[in-house]
Amino acid sequence: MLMNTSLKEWKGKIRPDGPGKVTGGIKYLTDLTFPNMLYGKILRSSEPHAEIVSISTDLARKLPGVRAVVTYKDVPGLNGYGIIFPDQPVLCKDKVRYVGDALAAVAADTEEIAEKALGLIEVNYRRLPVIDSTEKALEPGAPLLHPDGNILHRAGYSIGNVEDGFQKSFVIIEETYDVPRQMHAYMETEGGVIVPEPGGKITVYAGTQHGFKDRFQLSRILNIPEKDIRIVSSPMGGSFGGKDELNIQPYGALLALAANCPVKIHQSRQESVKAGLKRHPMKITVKTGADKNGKILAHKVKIIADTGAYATLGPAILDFAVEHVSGPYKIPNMETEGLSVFTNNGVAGEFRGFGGNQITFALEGQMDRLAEKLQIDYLEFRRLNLREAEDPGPLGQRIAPTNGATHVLEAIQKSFFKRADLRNEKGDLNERWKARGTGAAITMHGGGLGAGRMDPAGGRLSFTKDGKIAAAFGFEECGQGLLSVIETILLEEFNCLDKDISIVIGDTDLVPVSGSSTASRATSMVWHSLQKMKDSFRSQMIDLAELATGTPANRMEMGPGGIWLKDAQQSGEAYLSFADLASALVQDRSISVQTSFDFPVSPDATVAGSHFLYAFAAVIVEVEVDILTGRVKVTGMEQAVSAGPVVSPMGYRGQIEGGGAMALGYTLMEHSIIEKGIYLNDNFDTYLIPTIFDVPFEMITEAVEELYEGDEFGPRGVGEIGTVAVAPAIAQAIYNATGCWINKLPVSPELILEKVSFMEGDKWM
Amino acid sequence: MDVKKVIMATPSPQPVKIELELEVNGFHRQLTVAPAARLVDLLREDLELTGTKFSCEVGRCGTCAVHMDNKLVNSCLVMAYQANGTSICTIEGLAERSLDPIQSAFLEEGGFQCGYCTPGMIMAVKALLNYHANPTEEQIKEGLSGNLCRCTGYGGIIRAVQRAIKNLNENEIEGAVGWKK
Amino acid sequence: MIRQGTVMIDSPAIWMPENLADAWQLKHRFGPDAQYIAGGTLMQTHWQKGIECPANLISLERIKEMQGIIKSPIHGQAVTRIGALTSLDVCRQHSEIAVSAPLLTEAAGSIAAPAVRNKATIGGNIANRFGDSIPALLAMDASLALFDGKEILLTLLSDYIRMESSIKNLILVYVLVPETDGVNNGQYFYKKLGHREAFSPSILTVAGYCRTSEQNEILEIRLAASGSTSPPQRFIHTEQVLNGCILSHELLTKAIQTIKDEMNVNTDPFSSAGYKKAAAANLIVSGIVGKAG
Ligand SMILES: Cc1cc2nc3c(=O)[nH]c(=O)nc-3n(C[C@H](O)[C@H](O)[C@H](O)COP(=O)(O)OP(=O)(O)OC[C@H]3O[C@@H](n4cnc5c(N)ncnc54)[C@H](O)[C@@H]3O)c2cc1C
Ligand code: FES
Ligand code: FES
Repeated sequence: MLMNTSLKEWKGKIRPDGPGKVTGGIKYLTDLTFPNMLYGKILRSSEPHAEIVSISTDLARKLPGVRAVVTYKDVPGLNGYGIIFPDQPVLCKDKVRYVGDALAAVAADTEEIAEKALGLIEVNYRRLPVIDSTEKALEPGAPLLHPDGNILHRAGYSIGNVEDGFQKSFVIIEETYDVPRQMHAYMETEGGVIVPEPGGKITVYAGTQHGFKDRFQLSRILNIPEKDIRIVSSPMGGSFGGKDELNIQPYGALLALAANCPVKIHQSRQESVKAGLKRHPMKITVKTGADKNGKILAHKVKIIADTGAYATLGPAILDFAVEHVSGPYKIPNMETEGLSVFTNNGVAGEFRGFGGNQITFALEGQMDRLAEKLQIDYLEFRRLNLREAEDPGPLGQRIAPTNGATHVLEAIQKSFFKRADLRNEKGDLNERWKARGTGAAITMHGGGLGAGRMDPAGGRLSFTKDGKIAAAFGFEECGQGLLSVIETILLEEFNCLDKDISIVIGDTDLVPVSGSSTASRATSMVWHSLQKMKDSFRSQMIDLAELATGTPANRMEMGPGGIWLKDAQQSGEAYLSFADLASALVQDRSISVQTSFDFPVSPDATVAGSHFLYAFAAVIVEVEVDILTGRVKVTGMEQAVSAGPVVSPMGYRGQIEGGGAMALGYTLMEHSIIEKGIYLNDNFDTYLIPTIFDVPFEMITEAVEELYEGDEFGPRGVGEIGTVAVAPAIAQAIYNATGCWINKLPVSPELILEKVSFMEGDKWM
Repeated sequence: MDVKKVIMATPSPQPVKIELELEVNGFHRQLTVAPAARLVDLLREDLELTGTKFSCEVGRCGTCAVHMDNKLVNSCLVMAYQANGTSICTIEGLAERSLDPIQSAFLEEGGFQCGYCTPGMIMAVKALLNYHANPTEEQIKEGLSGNLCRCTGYGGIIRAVQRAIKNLNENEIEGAVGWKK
Repeated sequence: MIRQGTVMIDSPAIWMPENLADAWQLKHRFGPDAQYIAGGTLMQTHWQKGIECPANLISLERIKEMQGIIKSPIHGQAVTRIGALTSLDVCRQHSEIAVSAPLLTEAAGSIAAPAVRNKATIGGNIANRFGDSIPALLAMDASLALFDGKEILLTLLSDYIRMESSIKNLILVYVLVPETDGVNNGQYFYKKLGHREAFSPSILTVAGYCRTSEQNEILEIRLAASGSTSPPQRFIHTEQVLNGCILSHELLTKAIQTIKDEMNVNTDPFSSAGYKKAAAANLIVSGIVGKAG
């Protein structure tokens, strides 16, 4: 990896959660068992859209081994959930709106009995017309899915005068881009155990990306105070946004309280597909005009997002897409209109990239088509329109100045030329029946939840009685390597050893409020928290050392294993070990520093959700198209990323490569197909994600760590950025290989085959 | 009729059970289970070996992979009667006194993120390297093609495999030197 | 899918006959309440999809006649005899098969992934009628040995795939693959098209054999295809059209059309029939051209 990092020495560092993960010793929350534990199962709707005439659970209750059955009647508090607003019923009463809607839940001695009991619950439905497309939902007179109609959210932005801009344009490209419903496909399906505790309390052991949010939502549903609910949420077998919203927790909790026993629910893959969130499918119609010299003059965009049956984070995702409509480019005249539309097609929600992937595919597609029409090199065309460091953000707001766009574009341009040389060297690349092409794309991606959204962050540092520097954060470990990030930053700041520290995350009883582990914010917020806490913590530690030893504070500093004398650093041992220092923690004396603050937002953010900190990425890919079948294979991928200093090189690279592969799947094969409201691919036999054969054997990640002069915001997260610009790069590469423009994902080999079908003039022999 | 039948076939209201004998991670085990019960449940529930995961339950992801008589199998597709008399090795059985070189390589190279595919992946790598000490790129891909990983994009896994090959070969050379002495 | 755990209230009974006759008798005794099972890989995926598991499973795994790989001449011709219980992994790795039935080595490598192949059998792959090994075996003109309760019958695979379910109770004992003619060895090809590069259900799988004279006259040709949603077939008509002709661009262009006409496929939610035909025709013709192209 081309990574020129100041933190190189940590390269060989082993993740704190590593040993447990490679030995199988670590317990995921779905691995837990408790005495007297029951197994829960959730009855989901068989209809995508229907009125519920009746639900009868009598037979199920009588089945031996069944310990509890719950329906809407058993929800003590609010029968609804949703991160933004709670429009999704926990247990449906009179209507179902998608096939994942829950009607009842059963706890039984075994999973088999619980499953049989589900079969004994009789539900009578009165079918309603299925709204299986946004077009249908928007028809006048369409049945209303929610009291306020079928439009969940509208968002827009405009500046200048687009019609004017088009008038002055020399070329105009108009195109509709169609992007699919992608499944998170985390390997661990949703699950966990909910344990009733004495005094009406409960502990919820289940993955989530925001423990405190779950606690808040569960409190509302169960009608018990938040302080009586404890959420333990790490480790998780992947999430990618998909486990941020509640999933099995309310059912487990209702059953556990009803049966007064711990209840485990672990969804099967089919259940997960049916109930789980997906990435929003969108249809994006774009008209873009540019002048003769390649300056973009006008950009008019209409986004229609299929948000499915309930809101969850749908509105915020649409806002994000609207914000990123122009990406890293300066466009004087713009008009964007976005609609997030309810349908009976599952539920779409948070997913790594948060609307950015969809809109970037459309934007970069336009850039490619315009460049081609203008006969300008497509990277050069991007450079011509690229933002400069101090330009305002995409919604006109002030943002932290950054040269990231230029940096990543330059990095990829260099490698593009290198690759061209390589291509020329290898003579035999043009083997028969294969067409090859290279493509590139860039993106700009906001971090944090954005302006006008509650986005608190924080953390706590304390010195424990057993001599450990303990860091506590309310973040979750979903695999992204957060523990490693925290450890690395602690070791850096305090120059101590990994045995000197202990880290607590993912347990609402033990950690301070830190906000969600989403929106590429956790790494960044850990760093910010520690910046705010480190000085105070350090001086308290040294003060304590002074108290214990009588040595003046100014002669001491923190170091490996304990407190060191500044002038005696060479003498192999600490002056006062942390353990000895801890014994000075007598009686009421303690060291604990806590911070809470908000994620930085633009001082003049007028549009909800607009960002202040952005990261950038450029991607270059090589593809090989089989002209006999139209199949595309990505043979090379390189990403240049500008997201500030690298905290953990292994984690950084892993995020970019993993994101790249996930986006490759999005581009070439992943499509959660819903027909008339029913999922057609319900497991990994038909919903295919990339295997080791589908990704380039070697992917390259280049980190541009440089920040703009005076930038004090440190590392940005890279959880999402690696997924954003891959699809348009592949589409461009396919065009270069075959002359076939791609405006629909996943790329259809059928379409390519039609285009290339026995290329004119070519002969079989 | 001289037919061995594992259990009584006459319809009986009692759940059908067999006495299963097998070796798991070197220990002899005896269990009374349904003949068609899945090995993955047997391992996770009856033997509390939760290192073996599941994700698709139809042989499509590899998170449940274990070795049965030294061969890689999906424990979600092995029924109890098929495991009778066999020797099973799970992720928990890999590390003896110290980590297996493959496990170390996964740690050193970042061959995992969420870690949920990791036990199955490591068992697949182990099977691969048992078979080919110096696998080609194609052999590596084929050996791991049944194990899905959603987090890493396989980059870290591939580097871990390469590192494991190196580690193992070095061990071998050291071993050889020791033997000469 | 019911995750039954190890208690399994509804576990089927498992029978382990030691020979073909006993297996046959058991099947007759239970009729529709019993099914043969080999590796069980396919059957378990069926149960997961909601197809009911019968009350009795007759495991074939102890039957000696169904095991092993041997070379033996039949009617003067060298053939490789592959027991139906041979795992696909063995088919993939066996050195004898690599020499005498190279297409099978290749086909086995395209099926599922190593862990599945360690349990999946060649017999199960053929008997389920949608296996990816079938086109390869058709191209190699393989025959099957089937036990009908009394004796073992030899049937050409190309006849077997056209037989109706009346043969369902027959036990597939072994597969016979004739040795390729070393002197005039022709060109074999096998190609599986999936939705990704590996470990994918087959959109279509094609295989073929073509032997030409030095003048590029086609002397012998067999072409076959199948798919995970399309039954296997031989392209008898196309073979007839091509046989005896001199290979040329025009001839192959014509072959493209006859293959499309002759191919029996359906549109499924993931691929259209038109696409399958076009891709199959291209793959087959490119296979015929092979190195000659
Ligand atoms: C994850 C996964 C991926 C797969 N991928 C592929 C693939 O890519 N290509 C492919 O072709 N298949 C694939 N399969 C299907 C299947 O595994 C193979 O076809 C396999 O070869 C079946 O063999 P088996 O021994 O497991 O059959 P079983 O499941 O035991 O039996 C299958 C059927 O054949 C019958 N049968 C078995 N043996 C005999 C016999 N000797 N005589 C008469 N009847 C018999 C059984 O009664 C049953 O109806 C896949 C399966 C899984 C689980
Ligand atoms: S759970 Fe066994 S292969 Fe997926
Ligand atoms: S590490 Fe998460 S699936 Fe592989």
